[in-house]
Amino acid sequence: MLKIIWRTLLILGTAIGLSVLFYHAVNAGWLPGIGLQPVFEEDRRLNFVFADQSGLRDPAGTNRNVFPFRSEFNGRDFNRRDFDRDFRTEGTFIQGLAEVVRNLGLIALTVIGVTLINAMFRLRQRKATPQT
Amino acid sequence: MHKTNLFLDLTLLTVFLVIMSPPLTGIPWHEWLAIGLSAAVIIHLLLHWEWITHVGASFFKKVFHRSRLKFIVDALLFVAFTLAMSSGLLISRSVLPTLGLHIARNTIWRGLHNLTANLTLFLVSLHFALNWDWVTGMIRRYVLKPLLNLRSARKPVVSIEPNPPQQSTH
Repeated sequence: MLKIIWRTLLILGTAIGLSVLFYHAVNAGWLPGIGLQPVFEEDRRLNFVFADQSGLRDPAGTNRNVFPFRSEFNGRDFNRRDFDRDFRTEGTFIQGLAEVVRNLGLIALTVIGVTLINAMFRLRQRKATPQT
Repeated sequence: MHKTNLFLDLTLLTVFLVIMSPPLTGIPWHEWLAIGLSAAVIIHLLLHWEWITHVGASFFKKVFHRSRLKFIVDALLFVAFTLAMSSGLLISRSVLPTLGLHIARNTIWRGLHNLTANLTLFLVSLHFALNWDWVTGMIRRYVLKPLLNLRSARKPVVSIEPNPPQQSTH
């Protein structure tokens, strides 16, 4: 029992360690190679997009309310509006089923590919081995 | 033991496929099923602990071996799944609010969640493909064979009796 608890803690510890490292790597902008900006830069970009849309940065803009701590300025509603864009929950049940079938198809294709490669290796080994 | 492994693995695959399709379940089920899946993954790892430690300890002794490839794929799968879970928690709409935790969400984590989830799907399919022989063997042993046995047991038994005595007509 103690062994199981110890192993579980080891697994959880590794997972938490990885997550913390990942969190800091993204926040610090250590992963620009895969197109990731630091989180604070992304926040700033979104704020500018919102400011452009609402005319906050433009003195001749339609919205002259420049009070910076309005609820929608980087607030819950603004984030949610941007955040929900491209979110894959707005589909029907049928679309969900289609996704399941597509993923199953991907798994089946991988199995076929790996099985074929495996068979080719075996055939090659059999040919290379001199028959007695 | 093999039977437990087989049914746990098939359940894991089914739940994973359901989780990978949020429109099918909706966000709350998507999140809570993912939490359940994490617990099941821990059980899966505990059941295969001997293999992990054995291959891990002798990893560099014979690098070019099928089990080494499996080990690398499994390690990458663990990393990808962990990152998908952590990025998923950072954009959680159901689990964390239920626990009373509120995190300022960012679109970066959304993108990362998609990326790591797709990577996990690819690695799961590779993991499944590399263990295909075991899966087919176990399905034959624990699913097909019992079914065939059951079918043969249900067949009506034709009793072979000696010819009934013929009645004399005279």
